[in-house]
Amino acid sequence: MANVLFWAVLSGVFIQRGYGVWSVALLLACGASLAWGLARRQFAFVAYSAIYGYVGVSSILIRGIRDEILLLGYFVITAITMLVVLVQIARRFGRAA
Amino acid sequence: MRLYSASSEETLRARQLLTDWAGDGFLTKEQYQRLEQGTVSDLRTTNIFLRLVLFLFTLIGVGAAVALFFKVFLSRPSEYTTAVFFLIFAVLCYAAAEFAASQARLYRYGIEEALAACSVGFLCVGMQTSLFRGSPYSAKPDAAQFMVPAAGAVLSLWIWRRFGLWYAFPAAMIFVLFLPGYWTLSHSAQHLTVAAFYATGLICVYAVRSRHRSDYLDDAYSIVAAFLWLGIYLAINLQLWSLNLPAQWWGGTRAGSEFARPFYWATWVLIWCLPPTVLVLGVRQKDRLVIAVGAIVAILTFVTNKPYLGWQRHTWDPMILGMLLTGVAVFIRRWLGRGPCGIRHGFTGERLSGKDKRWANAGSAVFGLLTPQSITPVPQTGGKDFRFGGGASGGGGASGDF
Repeated sequence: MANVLFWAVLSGVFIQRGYGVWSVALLLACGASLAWGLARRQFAFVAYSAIYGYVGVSSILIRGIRDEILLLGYFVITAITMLVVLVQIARRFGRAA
Repeated sequence: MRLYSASSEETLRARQLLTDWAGDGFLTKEQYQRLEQGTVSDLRTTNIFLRLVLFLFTLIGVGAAVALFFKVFLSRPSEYTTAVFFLIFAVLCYAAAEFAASQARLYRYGIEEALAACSVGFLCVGMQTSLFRGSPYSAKPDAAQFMVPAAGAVLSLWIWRRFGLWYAFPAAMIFVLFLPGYWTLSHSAQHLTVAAFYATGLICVYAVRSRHRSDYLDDAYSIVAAFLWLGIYLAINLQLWSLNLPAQWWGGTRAGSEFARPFYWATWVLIWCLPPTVLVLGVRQKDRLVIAVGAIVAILTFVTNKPYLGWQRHTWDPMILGMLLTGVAVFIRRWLGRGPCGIRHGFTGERLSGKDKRWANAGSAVFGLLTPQSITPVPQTGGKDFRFGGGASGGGGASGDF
C-alpha cells in the first residue's frame, strides 16, 4: 500500500509542469513514512522514505543541470550524505549485535 | 580465509535462532533475555531494509565518484589509462570492503557488500578494456578473452568465501556460463563444460560440507549446493536455453535441432533423472533448499517435456500441471499428518517456525505478481477468414463474428 502511494506521488513529481504540489506531497509522505518507521521500528518505512525521497528530490534538483561534473558531484555528495544519515539511524535505532 | 571469526558468526547465528524462537513463542521473555546475554557479538549488523538501502547508496556513491574522477582528471584517456584506473579502483574498492568489514566490523551491512560488488565490476571492465580493445600488449585477444569472466568468477568466489555473501556464489556461476563460449563453438560442448564445472563444484561442496553439519557454515553450503543442483539442471535442459522460448514451446517446434540426436536425447533422460535424485538427496539430508530445488526442477521437467518431444502444447496444460501439483501437495500433507503425532521420518506438515510463514508470505507475494495472462499462451488464430469486429452495439456485440 505504501509503495503504491509512493509510486503515485513519484509519477506526479516526474511530470514536467505542475509538479510543485506533488513535490510537497512527496515530502509529506516521506516525512510521515520516516516518522512512522522510527516510531514503530518498522524499518521498511525508513527505507521507503529514503529511496523514494531521494529519487523524487533528485529528479527535481537535477532537472535543470547540464554540467556533468556538477551532476556527478551531486550524486557523490548526496550518496555519502544519505549513507551517513542512514548509518546514524541504524546505530541509534538498529541493533548492534 | 574467512574475514569473520567462527565464534563471531556462530554467536550471530545463535542470536538469530533465539530471535526466531522468541518470536514463535518457544521462549519466555525471561529466557530470551537470559540467553541473549550470551550471544553478544562484536559484529555490527542491520536489518534487511537498511542493508538494501545502504547497498544502493554505496553503489551510487562509488559509481558517481569513479565517473567524476574520469571526468575531472582524464579528459580524453587512452584505453590503457582507462583500464589501469579501473583496475586501481577495483583494488581500492576491495581494500575499502576489507577495511569496512575488519575495522568497522560491518557484517552484511550493505556498504561493504556494495564495495565488494564494485570491485568485481571494475576488475572485469578494467581487464576487458586493457586486454581486448586493440591494446598493443594483447597478442591474441580472442583466445585469451576468457580471462575476463574467469577473473570475475574467481573474485566472486573469493568474496563468497571471504565475506560469506551468499549471492557472490551465483554471481560466480553466471561468470562460469560465459567461459566455454571462448573455448569452443560447439553448443553441446558448452553445455557439457558448464555442467562439468558445476558438478565439480558440487562434489567439492559435499566433500567439505560433511564437516560442517552442525555449525554456522551448513546454511551457506546448503545454499551453494542448491544453486549448483539448479545450475546443473539448467545447463542440461536444452529447452530452457532457447532464445525464442515462448514461440518454440507453444509452437511445438524443437529447440534441439542444433544438437546431435544422441546428446539431445541424453539430456532428455537426464532431466528426468535429476529431479528424483535431487529430491532424494535433499530428503535424506533434510536439506530444505535442496528439496525446494528438487521440486523446482521437477516442475521444469514437466513443463519442458512436451517441447522436448516436439509435441503440441495446449492451453489446458498449465491447468493440468496445477491440479497435479495441488494433488501431490495435498497427498503429502495428509500422508505426513496420518503419521504418529503428524510426523513421519522427521518431517511434518505443520508449521513449526515463523520463518515458514515469512517464506510463504514472500512466495505468495511473488507469485501474486504473475497474472494468469503472463503464463497462459495467447490463443492462436488458425483460419485465414478470422475477422475481428462486426459486433453491434447492444447485447455486448453478441451478434458479431467474434
